[in-house]
Amino acid sequence: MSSHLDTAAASPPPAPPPAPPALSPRELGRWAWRQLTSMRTALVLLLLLALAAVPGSVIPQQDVDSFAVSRWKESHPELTPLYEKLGLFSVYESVWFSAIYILLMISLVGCILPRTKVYWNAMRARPPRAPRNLGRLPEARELVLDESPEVVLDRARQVLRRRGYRVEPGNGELAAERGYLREAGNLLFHASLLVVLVGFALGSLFGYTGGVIIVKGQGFSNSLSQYDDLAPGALWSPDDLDPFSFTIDDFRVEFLRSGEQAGMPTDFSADVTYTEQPGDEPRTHELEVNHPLQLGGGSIFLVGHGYAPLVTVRDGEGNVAYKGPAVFLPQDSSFASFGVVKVPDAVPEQLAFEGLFLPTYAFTMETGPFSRFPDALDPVMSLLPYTGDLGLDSGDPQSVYSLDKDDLEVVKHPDGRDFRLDIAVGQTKELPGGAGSITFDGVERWVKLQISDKPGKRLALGGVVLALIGMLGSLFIRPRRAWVRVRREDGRTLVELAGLDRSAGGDLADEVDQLEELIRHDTPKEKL
Amino acid sequence: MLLAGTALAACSNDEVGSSGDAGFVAGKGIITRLAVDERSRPGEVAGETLEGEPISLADYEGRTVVVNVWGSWCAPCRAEAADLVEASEELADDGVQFLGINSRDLDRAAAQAFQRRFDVPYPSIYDQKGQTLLAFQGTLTPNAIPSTVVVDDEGRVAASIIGETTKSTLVGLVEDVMAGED
Repeated sequence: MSSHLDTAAASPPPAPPPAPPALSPRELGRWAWRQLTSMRTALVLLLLLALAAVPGSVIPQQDVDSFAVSRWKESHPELTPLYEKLGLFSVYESVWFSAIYILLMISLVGCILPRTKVYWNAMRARPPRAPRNLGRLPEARELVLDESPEVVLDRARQVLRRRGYRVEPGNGELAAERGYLREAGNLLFHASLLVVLVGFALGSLFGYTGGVIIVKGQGFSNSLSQYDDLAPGALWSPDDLDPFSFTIDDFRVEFLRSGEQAGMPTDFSADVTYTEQPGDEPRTHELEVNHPLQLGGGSIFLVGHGYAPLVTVRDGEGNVAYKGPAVFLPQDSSFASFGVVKVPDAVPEQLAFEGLFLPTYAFTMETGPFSRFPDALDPVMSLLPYTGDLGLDSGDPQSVYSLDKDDLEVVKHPDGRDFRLDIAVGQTKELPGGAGSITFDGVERWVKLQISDKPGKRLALGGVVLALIGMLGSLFIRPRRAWVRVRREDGRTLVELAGLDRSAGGDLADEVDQLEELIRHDTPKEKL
Repeated sequence: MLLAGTALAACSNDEVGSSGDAGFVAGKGIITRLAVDERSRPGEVAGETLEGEPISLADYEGRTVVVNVWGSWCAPCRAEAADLVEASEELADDGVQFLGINSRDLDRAAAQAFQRRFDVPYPSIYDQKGQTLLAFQGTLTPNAIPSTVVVDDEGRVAASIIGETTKSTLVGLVEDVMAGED
């Protein structure tokens, strides 16, 4: 040893230990797999999933309300290109969200399946044998009794069995354990998480969400062409639509008339008559905001409402070229609504009207016309008429809520001013130059419905419930071990009793005291 | 992570795109023909014409019928209107009947103005809520507006065009169906 120290200063410093050999691809793969399926990775991915849902809630989503998306894009032109690149308007379809979801599923499956075997074996394991020195366990007792060892051991076994322990008899001793259900709870929790993920995946792959605006008195049949907007799952097909149809018979909305919150809507409900299959007996349902109509083929939710003014437009030849409701979209809580009436079959020139519908007309010099109350107490429309080519005949699809003004001209007064017309219910306004006329016949309401079908949602719900049960089990069931050893000493029986808690908390002392009491004096009692 | 991401990027629906805020769902232009042994009869396709007369597909039993789903608000329907009118006149000599289904027009007046403007000689069922379209479930469903469905002379759905069409395509398709070819 000393010679070693002497020579240490003189000799060159020892070479650094050789670097560990590089991992072969197979070993690298195994390492990567272990990392992916570790619980830490799964927790990180869960956290990422939750964080990823934040933009999905805060930023308007294309599939939920594409009008809100368009409005947001108009008011934030600088941020829009960035948000579009990141896919923030359809978070739940974006590549990065799907990647997190898929990795989480792989991680969970890769972790749960091998653990299943482990938990299963743990559940069926026999209690381990008693340690040699029972006195060293946290709770140990010594009793001296008069009965013979066999009798005492037998009594101890019965006591333990009655208190829910699994008992393993040995030579003059007993080993007992309880709380195997904790492993079962753990297993149930992890497996249920998988069930929940599968349920959600089924819903988003095979389900769909669609929206439609229906004017009161009109109806809907569940066919692809009848939807206003639709967000299909990747594996959904239009043939999956069930052939139900319904009519909106009535729609009621109430607004608070007075007080601080005047103008707040307090109640909406719609009366619907529906059939689940063509030829069925029609049935009725009252649709309210939180009372959807649940049909086999989907659920129908009432999600919005607005106004559709009724107009009659006569063209230059005096024929009625348009008659009926025109859906206008509300811009804010006063229900001032913006919309377009397209009259492509007006002769000699196509006509269009664009402008505002105000349910309760009011005017000030500073603000111009506005709506003072959201109910239709004094409806007025303020419109600008156009003539020319609407661009519909070329075949390029257009939004029904906006005008393509490339080939349209505003109708003007003879003196050159724009011919803006303000029209109240019952009035008719003639357009200059004999181009036609418009009559404001009345006001109708429309409802916006969301129709969606998400298969697997009951599976997901069941999974969540099971996961909760499993989690409660794994948190609150306390595994515990107990051992009893008897031997004959000096003509009396010496009993050693000990207990061990396998998880923190719980009062082991109490339990062991109880066991001691019962082993001493146990006589079969009536259950009280 | 990248691999999983790219694999998932393909996860959009091939048949139907997401519609955005256009206010309707656009189809993607598909022609389908059925062999004779694959064809089946649709359910009841009946209602009132735009003029208020009762009418039904069954009225034309024994003739080939071309059913066209349209709306006056729909740009591709307007673009194909002249072609359909010409096709109907050309095929009338062969006994082919055209029947329109007007869907999603909120009132008959706009649809009638369309018929006046394009001089449409054949009747159309006024079906705002699309009830007659449900009758095609199980056969070739007209999943977009415009769509055209050809019903053979035994009342079975034989072919369909989802989306806009032209006179030559339509006439060719109808003549194939009438010739008994699939």
